[in-house]
Amino acid sequence: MNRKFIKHLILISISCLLLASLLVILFDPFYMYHKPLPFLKAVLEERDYEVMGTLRNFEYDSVILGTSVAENYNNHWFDEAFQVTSVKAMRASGRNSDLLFYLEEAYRHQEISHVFYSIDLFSIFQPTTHTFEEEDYYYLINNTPFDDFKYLWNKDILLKKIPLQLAYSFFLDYDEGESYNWYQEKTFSREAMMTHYFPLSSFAPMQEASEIDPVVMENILALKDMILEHPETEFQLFFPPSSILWWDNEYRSGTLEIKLEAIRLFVTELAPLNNVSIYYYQNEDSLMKNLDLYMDSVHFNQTVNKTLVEKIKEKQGLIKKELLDETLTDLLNSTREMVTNYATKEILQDYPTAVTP
Amino acid sequence: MLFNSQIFIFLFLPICLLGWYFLNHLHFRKSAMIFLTGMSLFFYGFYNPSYLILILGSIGFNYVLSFLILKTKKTISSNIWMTLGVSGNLLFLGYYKYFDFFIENTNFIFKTDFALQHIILPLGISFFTLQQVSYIIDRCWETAPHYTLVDYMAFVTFFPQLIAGPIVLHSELIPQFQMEEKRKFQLSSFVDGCIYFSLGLGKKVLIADVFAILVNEGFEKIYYIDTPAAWLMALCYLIELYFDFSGYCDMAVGLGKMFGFDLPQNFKSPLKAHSVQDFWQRWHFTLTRFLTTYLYTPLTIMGIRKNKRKLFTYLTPMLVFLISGFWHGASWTFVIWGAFQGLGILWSQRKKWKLKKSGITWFGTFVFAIISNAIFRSETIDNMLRMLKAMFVPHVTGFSFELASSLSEVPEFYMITRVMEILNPNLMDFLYLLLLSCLLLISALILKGKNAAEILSYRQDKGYTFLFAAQIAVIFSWSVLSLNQVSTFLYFNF
Repeated sequence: MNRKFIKHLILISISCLLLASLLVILFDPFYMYHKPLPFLKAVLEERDYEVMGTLRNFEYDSVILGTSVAENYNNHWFDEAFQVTSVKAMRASGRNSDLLFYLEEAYRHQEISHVFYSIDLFSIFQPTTHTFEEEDYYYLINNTPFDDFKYLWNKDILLKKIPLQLAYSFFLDYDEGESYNWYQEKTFSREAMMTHYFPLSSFAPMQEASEIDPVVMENILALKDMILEHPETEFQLFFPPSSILWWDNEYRSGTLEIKLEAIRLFVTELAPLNNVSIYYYQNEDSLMKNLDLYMDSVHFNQTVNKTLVEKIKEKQGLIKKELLDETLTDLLNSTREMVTNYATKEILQDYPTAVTP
Repeated sequence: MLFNSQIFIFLFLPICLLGWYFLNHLHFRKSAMIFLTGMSLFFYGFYNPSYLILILGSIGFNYVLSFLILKTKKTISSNIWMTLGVSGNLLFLGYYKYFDFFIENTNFIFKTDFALQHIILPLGISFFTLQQVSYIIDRCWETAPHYTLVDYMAFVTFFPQLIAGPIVLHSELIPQFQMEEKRKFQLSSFVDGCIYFSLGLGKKVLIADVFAILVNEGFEKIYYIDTPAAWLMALCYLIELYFDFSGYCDMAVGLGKMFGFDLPQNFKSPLKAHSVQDFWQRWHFTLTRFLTTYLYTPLTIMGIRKNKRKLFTYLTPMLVFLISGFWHGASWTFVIWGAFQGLGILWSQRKKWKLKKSGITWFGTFVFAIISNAIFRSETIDNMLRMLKAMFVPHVTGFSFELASSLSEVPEFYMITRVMEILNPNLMDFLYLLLLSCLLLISALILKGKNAAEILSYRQDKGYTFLFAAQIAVIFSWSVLSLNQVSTFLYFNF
C-alpha cells in the first residue's frame, strides 16, 4: 500500500508541476522562450522581467535604448518615422553598461538597422560593469536553464501574469507600442514637480571640467567600441532635455561644468563616426523651462517624448559634423547661459525665497 | 538554507537521502554519520559560512566538558562541571543574543555611551545551546553517557532540527543513530515523512505567509490602527505564528522520518486548549519540557526542601516564564510576554473558582493567546502599548478595510480583485473583507480538524487512498509553486 501511495504521490506531484510548467511555457508572459502566440498581444508591463525576453525572441530591426526617462515613448512613433520595427531595451536608473549589455544581446539575435539611444547623463557617470547579477530575476537574464524553475514554478506567473496577458489580449484596450509606459499613473504639473525639488541654500564652488571622473570616458569608449563593431547600424544618439530645475541643482552643487564636459567628451568622441548622429536638446528653452511638462526634475510627459521623435525625424537638433568644435562650444554655451541665468535670477519667479548669489 | 526553498527540496534533500542510505547500505556506518554531519554543516553554513565556527566551537566546548566529566568522575564534583558548562553555554548565548540589549539598557540607566556591537544573531543558536545545556546537565546527573564525537556532532547538527527545533534530547536521537534497523530504508517511515513534510510546507507557504502579509502591513502602519484592526492583527498573527512554527516542526519531523528517525512532536492542537497550562502542554512543548525538567522541577524541589512550598508555587511559574520570554528574544516586550504567560499559568493552577472544560474556558484561553501574541509581535514597548491601547480603548476609523486590502498581493485573489475593480470598484472594501473572512474560516476549519499526527494515525488505520495521495500531492505542488518569494520562518529569529 505504501509503495502504491508513494507512486501516486510522486506521479501526481510531477504532473501538477509539469502542467504548471507547460502553461508557463505556452503563454510565456516574460517571453523567455518565444514571442507572443499569434492570438495574443505583446503585453509589456514589467520592464525588468520582459526586456531580455523581447530582445531574444521578438522580431525587430531597431532598438530604443534608455533609462526611465525614455520609457514613455511609443514604439510606433519610431516605427512610422523611420520605417522600422522597434523594441525597447530600458532600465530605470540604468548604467550605460546595463544598456550596452542589452544591446549586445539584441545583436546576438537580430540584425539591427537603427539604435535610438536616449542619453541619460546619470548613466554615463556610473561604473562600467552591469548590475544584473545582483537582481532576484537574474534567472531571466542569464542563459543557464538550471534556474528556469523559478519562472516555470511560479504562482505569480500562473495567477497574475498569464491572466493579465489574456485580459489585455481579449478584453481590454492595450496599445502594444506603449510598452513599459508609466505616464498614465503620474501627475505632470508645475505644482507636482516643485514638491520634489528644493533649491540648495548655498552654492558649492564650481568644479573644473578637468576634474571629471575618468569613468565617463570609459563609458563613452565602451559605446564607441560597440558602434565601431556594427557599422551596419545607424546610431541615433540624443540628449533629451532635463528640466531647468535639474540643471539648477547641478549649478548649485558645483557640477555644472562637469556635466557639460561629459557632453563635450561624448560628442567629440562619437560624432565623427560615420554611422552616428547626435541630437542635442539640452538647450531647448521651451521644453526645459515649462515645468508643467514634468513630474520631477528629469521625468517629462509623453508630449515631450513625441516632440523629440518628431524633431529627430526632421533632423532638428542634429549636431553637424562639420566645424564640430565650434558648434559644440556654441551649444554648451547656450546651455550654460540658460542655466546660469535661471539659477542666479529667474529662479525667484518659481521659488521666491531661493538663495541667489 | 531554508526547508521552503526549491534548492533544499529538489537538490539538497535528495542528495542527502541518497548519500545516507547508500553509505548505510554498504555498511559504512561511520562514513554515513560523517556524511550526514557534513551535509548538516553545509546546510547550516549555506548563507553565512562564518556561523560554522560558532557552532563547531560550541560543540567542541561541550564535548570536551563531557570528556572531562568522564575522566574526573572520582576527583572533581560534577557540580563544578555543571556550573562551568551551564554558565559557559549561557555566556555564549548571552554574548550573541543579549549583548547589545545589555549595552542599550546600561546606557539608558547609567547615561553611559558604550558602543553597540550590532551582532547578527547566528541562526539556531538558542536551540542548539539549550540542547547542549540539557546534555551537560544530564552528564552531571549521570543520566547520559559520553558519546563518540561523530555521534555527538550528528546529534547537535542534524539539520531537520538544527535551526528552530524541536529541542531534541540526546536520549531521543543518539540511540536511534546507533540502531541498525533505523539505517535501512523503511518505505513506511519515508511515506510518513513525505506526508508530514508536505503538510508542514503547506501550512507555512499557503497559510502562514498569507496572514503574514496582513500582519506586516498592520504593524508597519501601527500609528493608524483602530480597535477592530488591532484585534484582527493580533488574531491573524496568532494564526500566522501557529501555522509558521507548527509547519516548520511538521517539516522537521517529516525530514527526520525520511531518514528513518523519530523526532519529538512540538505541537498538539494548541488552539484547542482550555487553559494556559493546557496551552503550554500543546504549544512548543519540547521547550516546555526543557524548562520543566531543568528549571521548574529543580526549583519546586528546592521549594520543598527549604520548606517554602507556597512561595515557590507562585514564584516558579513566574520565573520559568520570564526566562522563557527572555529566551525568545532580547527585548522587554518578550519579558512582559513571559510575565503575562506566568500569570496565566498561575490562574490556571488556582484551586478556587475552577471551571469545567467548556466553550467558555476554550474561548477565554483563545482570547488570552490573542492578547499575549499582540505583545509577542510588538517589537518595542511603544508599539506594544499602542497595540494594547487600540485593542482595549474602543475606536473605529475603518482601518480594517485598508488592512484587508493588503490581501490584493495574494496571487490567489488577484483575478477576482481585478475583475471586481473593473465591474464595481465601490465594492472593493467589502470584497477584501469577504476574502479575509474566507481565509479565517478556512484556518478555523483546519485548526478544528485533525492535526498532522492525527491525520497520519487515522490514515495508517484506514489506509492510504488515491484521493489522499492526490490531496497531499496538490498541497505539495501548490506550495512549490508558491516558493518564488521565499520567506523565512518566524522562529529563526528566536
